[in-house]
Amino acid sequence: MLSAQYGTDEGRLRGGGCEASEWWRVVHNLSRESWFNDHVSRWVGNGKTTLFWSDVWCGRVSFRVRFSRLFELSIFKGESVFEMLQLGWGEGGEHGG
Amino acid sequence: MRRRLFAWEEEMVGEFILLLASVTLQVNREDKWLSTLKNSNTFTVRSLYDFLTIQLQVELPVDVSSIWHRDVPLKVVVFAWRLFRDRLPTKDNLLRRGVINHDSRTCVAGCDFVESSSHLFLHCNIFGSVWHLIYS
Repeated sequence: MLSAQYGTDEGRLRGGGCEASEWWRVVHNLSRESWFNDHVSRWVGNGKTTLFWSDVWCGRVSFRVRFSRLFELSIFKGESVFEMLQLGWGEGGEHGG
Repeated sequence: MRRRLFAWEEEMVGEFILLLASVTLQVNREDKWLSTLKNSNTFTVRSLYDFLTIQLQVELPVDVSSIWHRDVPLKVVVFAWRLFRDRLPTKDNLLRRGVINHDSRTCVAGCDFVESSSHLFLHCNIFGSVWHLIYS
C-alpha cells in the first residue's frame, strides 16, 4: 500500500517531495535520524524484505556504503538479500567478469 | 564492454565474498526489525521516549512536578510546563524559531525590552505589576 502511494527508489520507499504529506515526510525522515536509526537493526530470516545494498543487515553499515565501489558496478541495486543469494556471488552474478 | 577489475577492486570483491559466505538464510522466518533499546528487542514507544527524555533532562531551579495535579485543568498545567521550560511562543522564542524577524522581538506591552518569558511574567512594568495586584 505504501509503495503504491509513494513509489519506490531502488526498492526503497520514496520520501516524497512536495506531493507527499507532512506526516509521511516526518516519518520518512526518521530513517536519517541517528537517535532513531542507531537503535533499530534488521534481523534477516529469509531475506525477502531486506534490501541487499541499502539496508544495514550485516555489520554496522550498509554494503552500499562499505563496498561502495562494488555497488556502483552492480547492475542489481534494488534487489533483496534473498534475490541476490539466488543470483549467486560469482559469474553472471552481481559482478560480471 | 567489460574491463577487468582493478587490483583493489578484486581485493574488495574477495573480502565481500568471504563475508557473504558466512550468510545463511532461514527460509521459514520473515525478516524483521529489532529495537536495541530493550533486551527483549521489541519496539515500544515508551522505551524510545525514555531514551530520549533521559538525555534531555533539564535541571530546573524549582521542583515543578507538583504542577501535574488532577484538579488543575490540563491546559493550565501544559501552559505552566511550557513556561518552566521556556517553550512558550514568546517573541524571543519566535525569533529563534524563525517565525518573526529581529525588529519585532520587543515586548508586546511596548516597553522596548526583548520579550522573553522572564520579562513577560516577572520584570515587565505592565504585565509584571499583575503580581502586585494578586498579592495585595
